[in-house]
Amino acid sequence: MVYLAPVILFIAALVQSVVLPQAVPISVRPNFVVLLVVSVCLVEGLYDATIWGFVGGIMLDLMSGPAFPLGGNALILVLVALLSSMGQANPFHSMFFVPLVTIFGATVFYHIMTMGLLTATGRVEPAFVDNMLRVALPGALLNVILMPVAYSSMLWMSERIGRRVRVEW
Amino acid sequence: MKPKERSLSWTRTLYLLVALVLVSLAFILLSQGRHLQPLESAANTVLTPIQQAVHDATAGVGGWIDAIRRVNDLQEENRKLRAALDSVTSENVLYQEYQRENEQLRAMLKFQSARPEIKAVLASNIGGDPSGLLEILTIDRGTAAGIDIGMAVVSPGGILVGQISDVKADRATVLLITDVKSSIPVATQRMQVPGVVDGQWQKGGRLLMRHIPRDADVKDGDILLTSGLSGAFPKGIIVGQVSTAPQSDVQMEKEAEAYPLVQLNALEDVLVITSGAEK
Repeated sequence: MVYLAPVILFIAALVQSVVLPQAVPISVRPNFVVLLVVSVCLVEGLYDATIWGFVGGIMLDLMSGPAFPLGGNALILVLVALLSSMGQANPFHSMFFVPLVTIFGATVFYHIMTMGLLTATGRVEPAFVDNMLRVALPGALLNVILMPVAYSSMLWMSERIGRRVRVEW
Repeated sequence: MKPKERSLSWTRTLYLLVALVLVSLAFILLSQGRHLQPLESAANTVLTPIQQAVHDATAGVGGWIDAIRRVNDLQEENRKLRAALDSVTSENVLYQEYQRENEQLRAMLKFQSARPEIKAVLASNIGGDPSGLLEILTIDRGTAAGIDIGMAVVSPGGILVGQISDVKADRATVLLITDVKSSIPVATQRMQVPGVVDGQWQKGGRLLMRHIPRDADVKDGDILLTSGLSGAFPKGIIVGQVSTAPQSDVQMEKEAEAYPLVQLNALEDVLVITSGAEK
């Protein structure tokens, strides 16, 4: 399934960096690349998610313009994959609850890391509190709403072309 | 039926994770030192036409979402526009497109004729901030076209859009006037009342004119122009329009809400003012 990553991530990055900023003139937007990385991590595992995170991050960096250093999104999304791998432990054996909690935490983590990176590299200093309240938390809730679709799609793909195989009883 | 997974070894995953983290960090450090500029330029050569095509193809999508936000303003605007457009019976799509381009070029020509001291570079909007944290545009021109950090950016009709906040050889980032980090010295056109316009987008608003003297005469509909005080923006560029007159009798200074006169995110082309700002 990792071979599909460049195509799917290219489309997701294009939508996220070109279509959404002009289609959604408010700050609350879904983050498709984070959705994909977290879904891949929960379905396929950390190994694949790390590759998806790196490739998706590089694509976002190249499409974002000079506001973000090349490698910035890649680093953050690899760390998002690592964070999401905690969701694989799934102590509650829940197919529903764990993906939603994981995507919420991962999206908030992505935004915090992005603000940290922008501040550290001195590109633009983001307004931390306002961004948390008006961008990160609502964006994370929006990703929670979209997660069942992303997770189900990834499960479906994984059972056909990925690591996950169906076992007939 | 129950899913079953073939697990990969943890060591292999750890090696990959560490390797990609190190590669990313190396990219960031090299990118900070602008050592990756040839690689980024090569990638931009491929990506820019694709981004431009997707941007143009989806240009109309934002209109209806913005309409929900501005429903009150739009109802009034719609009433006026309906009255003005009653005489128009039919126009085909091609004609509208030519008309739009024509109007844009005329506005650009008018702006350049009205302000001959200003030298500007035309650039196309090819995207925004994918994280949603910043109110920015990415444009397809950079230092190779004479663009530098701090330069003012206006719409083809001469309305202020923002300021260059970062630049590379063939791309630049425009920090829009609605971003909370944007702060522009202005004066009202009618009474020359001075103030500062701050972006409010991350706070749920659009623009806020601050530091208005308590007894100053500022009304709904007042046009705000750059005062030229900062030196970064040429004097007399339209910034926005006051939407709510200030109502404060107790404080030394008043504040007034305002809004930009163009939909900043949906602009297809912008002009970067490369010279003519009062230093």
